[in-house]
Amino acid sequence: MDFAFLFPYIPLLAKATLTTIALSIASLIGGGLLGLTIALARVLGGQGTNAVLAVVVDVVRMVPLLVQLLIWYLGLNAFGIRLDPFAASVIALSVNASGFISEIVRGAVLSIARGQREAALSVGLTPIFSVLNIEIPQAIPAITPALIGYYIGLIKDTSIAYIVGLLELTRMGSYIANEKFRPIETFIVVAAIYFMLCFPLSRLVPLIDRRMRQVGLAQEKLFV
Amino acid sequence: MSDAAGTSIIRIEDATKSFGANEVLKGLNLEIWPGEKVVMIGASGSGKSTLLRCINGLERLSSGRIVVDGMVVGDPQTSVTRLRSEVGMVFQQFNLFLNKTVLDNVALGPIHVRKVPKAAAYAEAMQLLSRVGLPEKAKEHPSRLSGGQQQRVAIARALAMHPKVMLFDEPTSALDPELVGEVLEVMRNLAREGMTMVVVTHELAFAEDVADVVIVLDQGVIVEQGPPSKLFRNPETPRARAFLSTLLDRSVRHETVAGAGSAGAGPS
Amino acid sequence: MYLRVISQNLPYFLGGLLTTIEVALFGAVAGLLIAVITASVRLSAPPLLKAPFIAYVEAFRNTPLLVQALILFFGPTEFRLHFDGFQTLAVVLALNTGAYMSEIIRGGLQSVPRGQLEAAASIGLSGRRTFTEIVLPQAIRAVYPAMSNQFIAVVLASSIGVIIGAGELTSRVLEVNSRTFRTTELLLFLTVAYVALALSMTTVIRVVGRRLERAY
Repeated sequence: MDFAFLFPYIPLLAKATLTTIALSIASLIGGGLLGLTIALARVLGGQGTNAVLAVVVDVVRMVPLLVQLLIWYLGLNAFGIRLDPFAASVIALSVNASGFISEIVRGAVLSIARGQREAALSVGLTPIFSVLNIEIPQAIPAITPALIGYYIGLIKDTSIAYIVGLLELTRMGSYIANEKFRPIETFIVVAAIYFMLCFPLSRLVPLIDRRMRQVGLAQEKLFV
Repeated sequence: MSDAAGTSIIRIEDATKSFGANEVLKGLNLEIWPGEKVVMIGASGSGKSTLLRCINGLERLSSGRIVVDGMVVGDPQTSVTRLRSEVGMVFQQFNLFLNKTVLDNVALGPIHVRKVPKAAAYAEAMQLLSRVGLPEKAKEHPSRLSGGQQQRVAIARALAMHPKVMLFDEPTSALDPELVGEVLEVMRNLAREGMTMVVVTHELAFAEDVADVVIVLDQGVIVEQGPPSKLFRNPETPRARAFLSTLLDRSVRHETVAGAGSAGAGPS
Repeated sequence: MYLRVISQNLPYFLGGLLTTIEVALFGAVAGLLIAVITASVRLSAPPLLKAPFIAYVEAFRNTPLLVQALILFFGPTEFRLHFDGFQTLAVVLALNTGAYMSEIIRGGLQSVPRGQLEAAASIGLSGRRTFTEIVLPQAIRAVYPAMSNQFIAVVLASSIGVIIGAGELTSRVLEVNSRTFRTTELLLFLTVAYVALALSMTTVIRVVGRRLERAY
């Protein structure tokens, strides 16, 4: 196996890697904001709101990501809304992420003892204040490791953008493999790049988990 | 003792509360006067905690109504914020905000609900902490405090809202015996200063010292009520008598074992 | 809405659904087997024997399923070999799921409190009996939610078969789309099909889960 043929492609691979990273970060932010909103709406809203959003979250988690991407890219196109591959990918990944992230946040907030909310209410604070200033801060040690873990999955999920032609890492690998008729070496290198993006983060998760549990709530700043 | 010249500060009218099929409060009637110290005793499940939580709106009555200082609890016209500013609550599990310092715990309500400027709120919070004997713990987080200390901070937190009534839901039940005294001491001082207090507790010595009225609850109804001196020595109804005998039995044992028992033990 | 496009192709699509179930079943079962072996090796074998298994798990958990599939699909052509889309999908799903499942199993086995083992030893229970009577049932109960999520994930992941022409549900629906361009109707059908599949699986999972709980 000879990998030398790949050297001239390094700039292209680098650019594709950046696209992958950009896509993953954009989707984390989009999915995070949307997921947080959904979690808050479900925790603070009435039974009706919670039920409707529960269905939305369930559907998003029961349909394959690839199909969701095609819905945003091809489906909207049929209605006249044309999204470019990057935009469609960000939207699809964000919406999908929001489903999972909302469950992470909601689960963590619900696990905070009820007494915290009751004490807040007894002093005259509103439920919203309690959730934002008292319950969510206490849920952060539980949310953070789960969120990082999800982000690692997001990096891998970006490969799905292949199907809409976005020149992210996997698509670039395919392009190079076709040009040079060397799929094994090319895709092994592509896999190695993904590995280098994901593996360090996955080592980080248990460390952060432990650190957050030790430091806990004894400090205002969780990151020293 | 009722103050014939004034109006009651809490009026409970035909209060009924059910959790599903379980009727916890059965048409209770009670009036509490400004400055009165009311102690509620009863077996678990008798509805005493539920009644307390209905007064400040944490639970909603199934029927009947509660009027606090002219405000009807649960009425859409009543400002929940105003109601809860006037009614302070101390929980069995303390429920201090774990992610905030002790000082922030006390000042949070005044800053965000009473809209007091931060400097003034923190100053008053320090005063309150001194009052309960814990000024040096201001910058600590609740996890660093003992149970008795946390409960005293919880009392300060409730007082920071300048309530007209203080509700105590078994304030010492979750505490190790040697920590009970310091909390009861704070409550005694509060009583001496004239605060209207409704206390659910098993601490009979405290009740005898402090209470104007002792109310015995059993299965959602008031079985008997009266001044502690009379109630403890000479309960009239059989249910009250039965309950008090088990309670006295238990607390006598508790006092002998704990030695000083509920005498003030000072801050730990 | 031109629903005829769905009704006309329904047999074809149902064949695709069947293929999806076949390939997911293979992936899940074979993956489970691989996972059990991997977890056992990682828990009890000497470090030298463990190393390749650890490498396998980390390699498959830190790279995208699609890249794994592309390596397995296009790779063998360099050796003049060729696996078709279905075969590739089945194998890559098994290997991928196996890696994730092995971690779940490993965690589940390690979560059984040490005290259980000590108690079993002190009443003279053999290692094997301890495992089958005490450790395994508790571990199964512990891993059940995570494992059932994995099964659903395999079914959803099979959709990447469209890229390598595996003949499963998504492949077939998109193929019809490229001929008829009835995108709205077809994507709607595809969504409903997967939701129905996932819901049925969730129901079965819940029923089985309840039976597991009852045993205590």
